[in-house]
Parts: sequence; C-alpha cells; structure tokens
Amino acid sequence: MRILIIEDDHDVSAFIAKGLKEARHLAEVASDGKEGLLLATTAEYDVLIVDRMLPGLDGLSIIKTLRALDNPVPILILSALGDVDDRVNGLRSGGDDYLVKPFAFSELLARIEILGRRQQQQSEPTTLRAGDLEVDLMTRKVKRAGVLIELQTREFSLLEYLLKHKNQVVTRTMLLENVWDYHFDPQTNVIDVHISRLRSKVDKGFEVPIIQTVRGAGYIVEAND
Amino acid sequence: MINVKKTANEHSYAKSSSFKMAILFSVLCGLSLFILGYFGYFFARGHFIQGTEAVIDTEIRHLSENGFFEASTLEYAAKGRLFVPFNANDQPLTLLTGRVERLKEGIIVFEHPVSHQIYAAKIYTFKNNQKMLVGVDITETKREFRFMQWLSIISIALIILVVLVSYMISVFVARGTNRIATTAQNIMETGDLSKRLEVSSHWDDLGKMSSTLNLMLDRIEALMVGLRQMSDNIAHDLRTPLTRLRNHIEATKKSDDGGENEALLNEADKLLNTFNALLRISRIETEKKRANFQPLALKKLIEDVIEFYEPLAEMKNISIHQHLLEMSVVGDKDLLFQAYANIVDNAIKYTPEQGVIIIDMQSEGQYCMITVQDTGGGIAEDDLDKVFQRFYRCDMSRSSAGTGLGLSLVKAVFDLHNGQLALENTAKGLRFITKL
Repeated sequence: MRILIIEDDHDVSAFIAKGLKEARHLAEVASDGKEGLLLATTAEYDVLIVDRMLPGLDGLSIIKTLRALDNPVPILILSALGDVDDRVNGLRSGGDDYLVKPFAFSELLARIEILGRRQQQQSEPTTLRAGDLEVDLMTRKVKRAGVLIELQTREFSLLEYLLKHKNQVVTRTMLLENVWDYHFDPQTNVIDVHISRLRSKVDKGFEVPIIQTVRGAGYIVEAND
Repeated sequence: MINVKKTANEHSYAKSSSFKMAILFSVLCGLSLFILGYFGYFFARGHFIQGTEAVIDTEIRHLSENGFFEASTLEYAAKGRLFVPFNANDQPLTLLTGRVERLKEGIIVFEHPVSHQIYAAKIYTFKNNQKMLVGVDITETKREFRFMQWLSIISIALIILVVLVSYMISVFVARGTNRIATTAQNIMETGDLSKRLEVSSHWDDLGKMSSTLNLMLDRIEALMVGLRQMSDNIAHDLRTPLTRLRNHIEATKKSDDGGENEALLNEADKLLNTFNALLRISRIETEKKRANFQPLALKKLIEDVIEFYEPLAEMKNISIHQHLLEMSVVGDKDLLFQAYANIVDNAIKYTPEQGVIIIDMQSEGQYCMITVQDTGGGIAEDDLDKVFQRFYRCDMSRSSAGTGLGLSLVKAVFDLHNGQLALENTAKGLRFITKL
C-alpha cells in the first residue's frame, strides 16, 4: 500500500516509515500540515496517517478539507490527546480511525491494513467463510464442516469481526472497541478468555484452528479461499 | 462505612452561637429593664400617693381646727388647693362631670370642669355633717407621670427593636458562616478546589474572612495543580521513551529467543499501563469534562459489564447473582463502564473459587444505588478508606496483579459524576456501595 504520513515529530515519522517499509508498504512523509495537504490532494494514497497537532495546518482541518473535496481516502488520526471526546471529534471530522500516542507499532500496522482493505471490499457479504467454517449473517447461524455450532450473541459478534478481517491481525483494543462498543481499559486479560471460550466452541476437535494468536499483537483468522 | 455525605442544614440559625447570644442578651436586657421599671413605678406611685394624702390630711386638720369653714358655701381654690363644699342634696357644689378615678381608698382623682386642673381629693365631714371636698392640685405631677409612662413605652419599643436587630444580625452572621461552611464542606467532599466562597460584602468581618479563605484556596489549588502537573509531566515524559523502548523490543522480535522478547514486551506493557492509568485519572480529575454526559440505561451498562467479566468468573467457578432494575442516569458511558468493570474485576480477583458475587441495584431517593458484594473475606477496617489512594495496596497477599490504580480510577469517575462511593466489610467479604 502507498501510505502518507503527515507528522511533525521526525522520530515518530521515521519510526512509522521504517516499520511500514519492513511490512512492505510504500511510506511517504510530510512534516507540516500544508505540505501534507498538498501531497494528499495531488497524489493517490491508500491510507493517510495524520497527526492532530501540526504546524501550519492542523490535522482535523486537513481531514475536513479532503472530505470537502470528496476525497474518500481512509485516514488514521494520531493524537497525543487521549480523551474520548477528542476521539469523537476526530472521527466526526471525517477520520476513519483514531490512535493515541504513544502506541505500539503492531497496533498501528493492524489498523492501517484494515483501513486499506476496507476500500477494496465495498459490498458487505451475507456469508462469511474461513476454511470449513461458515457464518451466515442473516440467519446468524454458524457451521463448521456442516455441523451447527451454538454461539452466544457476543461470541457471534467476536467471530463475525474476526472473519470480516480475515488474514489481518486484529488487536485486543480493536476487539474491545468494535465488538463491545465501550472504550475502556480492561486491566486483565479478559479478551483472551473470551477468545478461548470462542475457540473451545469453534476449534475444539478440529485439526486446523481457525483463530490463531499473534504474539505481542493480537489474533488472526488465516484462510485461503 | 466511609465517605458518607453529610448535608449541612442551611437553615439552622437557631443552632448558631450568634443566635443564642442574641436571645440571651435580649432576655437579660428585657428582664433588667422590667425589674427596674417595675420598682421605679411602684416607688414613685407610693411616694406620690403618700405625699398627696399627707398634704390633704394637713389641709383637713387645718379645716377641723378652724370651724369657720363649716358654714362655707362657696368653692374656693388657691395655691394649688381646692375646697368644694357640698350642697343640701349631699352633692359637691361643683359637679364632677369628668371621669373620676380612685387613687386609693378614700382619695379620688378628677379634672375640675372649669379650670381643667387635675385634683386629688378627700371628702371631709364636719361635725355638723356638712361635707367638703378637700383637694390638691396634681396636674404637674400627673403630667410628669404621663411623661414617665411615655418614657417606659419608648424603652420597651427600644428593647423590641434591639431584639429584632440582634435577631437580624444573628441571621446574617449565621447565614454567612453557614454559607462558608457549606462551601468548605462541598470543596472537601468533591475535592473541587476551583470552587470559591461567595464574597457578598467587603465591609464586615465575614466578607474579610471569606476573601482570606479564598486566598488560601487559591494557594492550595496552585500547589495541588503544581503537584499534579509535575506528576503528569513525569508520567507523560516517561511514557514516550517507554513507548520507543517497547517498539524497539518489538522490532527485535524476529529471532527466536524462547520467550525472552515476549517477557520484555509484557514488562514494558505493564509499565505503560501504569503510566496510562495515572494520566487518565489525573485527566479525569483535573479536566472535569462532562461533554460526553448523556442519559444512560444503567441496567444495560451493568449487564454488559457482567457479560464481559462472566468468562473470567466462570474460570474460577464463581457465580454472579444479579438483581437489576431499569434505571436511567446521566453520565459518561465509557467511564462508568470502566468504573464498574474495575469494581467487578476487583471482586472476581479476590473471590476464591466456588465463591459468589452479588450485584444488586435499587433506587434510593434521587440516587440509583448499585452494590457489588464479593465473598473474598474483606479487608482490614483501617484499609477501607485508603484503597482509593493511588498505588495503595492492602496487604501483599491481595496485590498479586494490577497497577494499584484501578480503584483510584473508580473514585475519580464517581467524583466526576457527583456520585457516592463507599466500601464496607460484611460477614462474607467486601461490599462496594455506589450511588449515582
């Protein structure tokens, strides 16, 4: 993917750019707001990473301008302000995702890859598949190798989210935000317990597990269809 | 139980010391004036009556010694004396048309119908049964007596005025001090140091006291802000290099080192979590942001918390009993979820296997009361009010995991919501009592 980083802190932008290159993405850096907006409007990018506090033109103004120009490029906002209403403001102004500094690079990468892929698959499928697992979003039925699996509401939402982003790393924070709809810090490894419960229903008795753990990052559902 | 709010009764003038003083002084003042007036009145009256009677008696003696007057048929008045002989019908020659009062047995007081002088008089009967009214002019004395009466009425009015004024002063003082006390209590309970006492006047000592106390609050607030800012800055400035460190550790993960890298990452994450929690608490406390407050269905929120922690409880075979009601509060959804999540997390952490957690909800007046009761055996009474302090851990056996900031965050959230938070030991364990 071709990614533009608009960030005035050179340490941060260099660190992101290096990481993205290692993950085989093309990264470009703009170090002030005006330069960033110019690049974003003149060239095509798959994802923008925009810092909120920028010299020249602040991040939210850049996003608003791009959206006013009908530019649909997915945008991840980076911010040192961690409060929920800052987050809400950021998303309201047209950003697609929000990450608070400091962050783990794996979290950033996981989010960027999901943002980049969001554009490619516009139409929502009604059936999700991974290997021999089949999830019908209309009837809310889950089958593995043709056998019906009973799932609770939250387990179904978890599985749905994982499958919707299959072949992408999904972090614990992303699961919290998207499956539970609360923005909070669970302190303990409750997410892992939820996943292991889901696994015991979905993967138990099968040779190939559907849900895999990515150490230090999160979970992934890998499947080649 | 700790932290239970006491509401100041703002209308307790009767209990204030200034009011009691005012009552006492009024009573003493009135009593002394009453005694003085009472004695003065009776002494003066007694003297007056005695004197008047003596003068009349002297005149009568004079009359009886000079028999000449027995035949007198004319009224005679001179030098403040009055002699009125009676006619054949046994009536005074000059008819007493006005009001006749009795000064004492045998002495009457009347106003002369012609001269309008006021006389005190006795009726003297001569040996030949001829009667004569013998009087003394008491107009002057009477006038002075009236004047004295007026004086006492005025002094009674003054006393009433004193009582009223002292009542008003006491109300003013009591209201002023109560206002100061209420605000001070409010500041103490909410910890909101940005509040100030109302300075309604600059001329009295209460106003002066308020401004002085406000200056003190300014000073305390400045110190507190300084302290918070310092700890915030430390946390903030350490967080960035820590994140870099974590990212470097993450970047070196490629080689297979048998979990060494993973352990390092975990340590870094723990440190970061502590800093984040610390910063989050101080942000909640200092910014007091209520921008995200909205009406919330509390039942749904608690159900979500329970649902979220249920797998964790299941792992320890802990059963969670819930009794929830449909109730709505205004608050920050994410923060309240976090607060109850921390409480439930805490309860699960300290409840042994096969234990029970009871979550109960009921309405109490304008509040919605939610209690979370665990069967973890409770904590020492001394620790009850300390667990909300940052980094406070009860005893080593209870503090295996966590940052020591979870309950501080809970406290900060409830303070932001003007809610109440209390902790008590019960027979089985610890009970959190929350009111919103």
